[in-house]
Amino acid sequence: MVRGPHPATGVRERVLHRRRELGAHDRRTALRERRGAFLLGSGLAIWLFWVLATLVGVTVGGVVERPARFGLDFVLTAVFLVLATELWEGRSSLPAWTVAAVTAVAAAHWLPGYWYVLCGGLAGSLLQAWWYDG
Amino acid sequence: MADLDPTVVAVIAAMSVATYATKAGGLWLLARIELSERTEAALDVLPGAVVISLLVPALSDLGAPGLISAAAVLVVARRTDGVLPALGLGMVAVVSLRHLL
Repeated sequence: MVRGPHPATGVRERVLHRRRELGAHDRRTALRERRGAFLLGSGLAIWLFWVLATLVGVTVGGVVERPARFGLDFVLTAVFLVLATELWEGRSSLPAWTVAAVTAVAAAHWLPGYWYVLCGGLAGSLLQAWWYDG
Repeated sequence: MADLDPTVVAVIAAMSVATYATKAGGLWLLARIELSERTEAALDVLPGAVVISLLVPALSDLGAPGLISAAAVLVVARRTDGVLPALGLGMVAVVSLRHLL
């Protein structure tokens, strides 16, 4: 019989031990349940922060008369720049990103609203599918 | 607290259903469909392509101070892996460059 882990060992050790005890099917179920709990917990945390931040923005955001004075109009762009560096996978990203950029600029010029986001994203993705060579 | 407009409440409720449906629907579909590697490659670049599509038209409206600050944000984000230093520097840069240029 496998001895149980010491009660003081970390979550990881306990999970590993439990995984060893379980059959393949149960193991998968247990993992899925843990993922569900993690997803729900992190989702609730993000939601709570989102709502609180929105409340703050609605109630006191009007105090800032000209957001551009503090560079606040640049924040969203900066956030997307950081996101882009995280999504960059090296040179293999270049063709799709170039096509996305060109398509987005053209679509922003010719189409109303935010269609350019959809157009650029789809164009980059389709190019990748078309160029894929196994 | 302001009175809640029933139309606004209905729109919020409908949007939450739509948001959940797109997320859950995607997972539901992917659990049932075997994706070809080609499709997977296309889906892998999609987030980056969407971010770039949002970014590039916005960048072209920024002018010189914004573009220089954008470059600074990129450099700091790549070097430090930290979101906050990059954002902080970007804001300081854009405000001071707008004053100077």
